[in-house]
Amino acid sequence: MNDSFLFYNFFKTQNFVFNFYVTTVSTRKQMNYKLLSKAIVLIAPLLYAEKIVAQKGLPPGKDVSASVNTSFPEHIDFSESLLKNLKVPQGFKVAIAATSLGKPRMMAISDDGTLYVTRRDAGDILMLKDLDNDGRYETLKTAWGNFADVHGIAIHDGMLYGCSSTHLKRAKINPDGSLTDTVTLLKDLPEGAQHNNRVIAFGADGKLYMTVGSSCNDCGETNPEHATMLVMNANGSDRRIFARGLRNTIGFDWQPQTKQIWGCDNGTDWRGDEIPPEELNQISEGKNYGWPQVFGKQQPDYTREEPPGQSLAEFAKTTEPSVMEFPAHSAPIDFRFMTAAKTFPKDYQDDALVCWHGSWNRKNPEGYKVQRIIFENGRPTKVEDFFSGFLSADGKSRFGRPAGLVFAKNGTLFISDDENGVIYSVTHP
Amino acid sequence: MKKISLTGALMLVILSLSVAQSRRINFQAPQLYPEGITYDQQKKLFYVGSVRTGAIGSVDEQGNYKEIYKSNDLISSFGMKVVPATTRLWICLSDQNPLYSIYSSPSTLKKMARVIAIDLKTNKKVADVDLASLYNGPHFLNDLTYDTKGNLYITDSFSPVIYKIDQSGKASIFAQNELFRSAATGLNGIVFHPSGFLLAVNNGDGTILKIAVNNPSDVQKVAVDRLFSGGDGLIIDKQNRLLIAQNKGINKVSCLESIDNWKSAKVIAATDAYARFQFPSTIALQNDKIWVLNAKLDELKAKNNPPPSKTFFIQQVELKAAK
Repeated sequence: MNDSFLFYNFFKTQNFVFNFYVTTVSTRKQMNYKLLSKAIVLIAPLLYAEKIVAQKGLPPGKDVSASVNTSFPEHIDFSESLLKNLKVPQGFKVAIAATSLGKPRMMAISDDGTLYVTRRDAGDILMLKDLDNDGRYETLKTAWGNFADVHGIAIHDGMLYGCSSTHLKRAKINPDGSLTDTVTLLKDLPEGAQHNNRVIAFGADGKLYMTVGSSCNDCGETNPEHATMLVMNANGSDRRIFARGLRNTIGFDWQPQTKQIWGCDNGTDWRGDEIPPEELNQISEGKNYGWPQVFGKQQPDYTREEPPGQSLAEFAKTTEPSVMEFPAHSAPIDFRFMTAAKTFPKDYQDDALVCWHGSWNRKNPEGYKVQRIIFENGRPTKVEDFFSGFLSADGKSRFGRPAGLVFAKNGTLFISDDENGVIYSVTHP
Repeated sequence: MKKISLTGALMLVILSLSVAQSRRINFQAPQLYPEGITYDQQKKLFYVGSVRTGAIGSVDEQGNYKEIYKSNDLISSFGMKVVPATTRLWICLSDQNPLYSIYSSPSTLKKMARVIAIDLKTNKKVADVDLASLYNGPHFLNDLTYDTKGNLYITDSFSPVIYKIDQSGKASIFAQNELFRSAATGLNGIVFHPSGFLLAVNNGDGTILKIAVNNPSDVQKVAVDRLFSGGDGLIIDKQNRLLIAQNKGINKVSCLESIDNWKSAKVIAATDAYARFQFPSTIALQNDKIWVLNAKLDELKAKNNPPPSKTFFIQQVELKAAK
């Protein structure tokens, strides 16, 4: 039996290019492995029942070489004069709805237009109101403080739900928008680790769906709920894994025609500029979307060892392929269908929007924009820019990173920028 | 050759601009997590507190920290000021957050509301005023200021009141107003303007409030074209401009000017992201220099990840004109 290890040989060059090699080598610890194999056979059923364990199969059979780059466009502080750089399709209008919010992430909006915004870093939920209906939120209140790490947010049956890495809580929304009667529903969700960005949404079945990112870039998880979508009752009971192998799917939504769940997954870092692609997946119950061994359309990741009992290629065929792929490392955050975009042209309303937070792990930056994924007959057919311009034309600077998306009842779209603390509105007058 | 040198020099300038950061006074004080700061013009020392132990210490311009007063019952210390023409350093004490103080306990958490004075000649406590019984509610004394007569005004971030301690040491509720309230941290930084009113910031809703000293029921929102969510320490500089520090991810100091006696105000300058502040909490004025304390309280909220800091820093505020 072979041992395998990753041998990273980084050497820095002037333009911050790193080289990265992955190789496998034989070792001499065969006796130890025989003993270990027996032990695994004995305890494997128990472990499988408890969790997906980091068992190792044979070496992948292929060696991989990749050139890895980092490239961080320079940060530019926000000023209102930058608004003119933002581009939306003809007929749409972009405006500033709120500024100076720090790091606003996910959003939910009540029927009366009260906007709730999570700030994971500050650990609170802000409540914004546009009292004079001019499209700009002129009042702000901390609606929920001391909610460490809060990220996901949803409104359901007059209650506001918030989710941190480990906790799911809810509160009653009062007529003035304030929150009371807070209850902790769950406090045993997996630790956030590398991806402390839980997102929650309610399905038409009244169930609460939640995405839980992986704890790492690339590892065998020890908690079976990492890298999954979970489903549970609205009060957090009867929680179970809905889908697996999703490295870090943040936003997700139901396609209005087919009622199927779709979401974009963040692929693994440090595999090169083009590998793996970011994925658009149709997420179904019981399916495995491949991470960490498989990416894209059932592509084995040969930097990983085989799963126990089968080759990477065989295992890849058992996973769900992505439906559409996008440039690697673009970093999808929120994802929503435009079901509520009542004032947008009709052909938009079955399509999805995705926030690309923007890359750092490739030479030529990608993302830093919101794209429209066009759906025809319930399937994605093409993608086009919807809200762009944060990234300079030469890719060397940026003044925003899109994170959250939400539609108000009147059809206005809000986009949060968690780099400069701005919320933008997009309307189709 | 000359061309190469010039190019090299230009590159160096560009490089230094891209990493430029204002002057810092680093001081070693493991796990201090100071939230309050003030500057003593006479002794030429900064004073800082600690949310971790409440201890009060001084920091000189070379970054030497020296503890001057401690006691296990201080819990956490917050805003502080040296009242001019006295040698008294007044300090707000509370137990705001169980993640902060090693002395936090259910008997003091959100209940304690004390203001103490340290005599800077002897470093002994010379006054200890308990404000908790004045208002029935949770307490978090966050900041204080003084008027020309030496009266103190103290904010309570958990209850919608401003307390007053007069020259004789008598404590009372000076103002009570719903504009002070928040579901989380309410009224935070407070300053006395020489024209005879107080300015304070509501951390939870980002408004700046003007409170008339001779009519405390007269509380007005200062009209500004933005809100100051996470607004913390305030100070009035020698040009009577208001400086405000914001944390909670905003991490900025802004400078506001008013031409109508603070009915309205305009942001005329601010720091930018390259200041690299880490939870800037309160501001101190040293003649014409403005300094901000980087409290790093985000580290305590992150439950010791990253590991607790041993070094903290007071950073000079370099304002850039608003675009």
